[in-house]
Amino acid sequence: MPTNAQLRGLYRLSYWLTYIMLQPIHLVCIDERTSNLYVLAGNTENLEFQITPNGQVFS
Amino acid sequence: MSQVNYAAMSDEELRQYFLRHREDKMALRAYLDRLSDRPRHIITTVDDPDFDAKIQATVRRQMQASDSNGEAAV
Repeated sequence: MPTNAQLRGLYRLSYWLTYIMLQPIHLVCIDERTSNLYVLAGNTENLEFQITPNGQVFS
Repeated sequence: MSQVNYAAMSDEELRQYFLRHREDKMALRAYLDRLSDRPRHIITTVDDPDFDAKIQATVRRQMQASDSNGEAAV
């Protein structure tokens, strides 16, 4: 399960991607080996983000 | 089940493959392994007051990079 920080990051990221940038999100999942939350988005599946358990967002 | 050679696929090909074969969890793992081998670009943290602006700047940069070379920014 995602952490509270990951969920907050996911909400804000999803808001920006879908509401402001009008980009679809294709996949949201947790890599159980690193516990990072992975997001794949974009019209051409070209936008990628990961959110660490403590809420750090990186690409 | 036939063996799929993930290593022979480009990043783009592997991404397309795991999106279209959700049951193949090893494909996604192979892709995430590639991501973890790349340098990590920290964008922001959830409690950053400038979170939205930083995300937006990164999205625009990734979209521009994708437009110019057909691959995702790394």
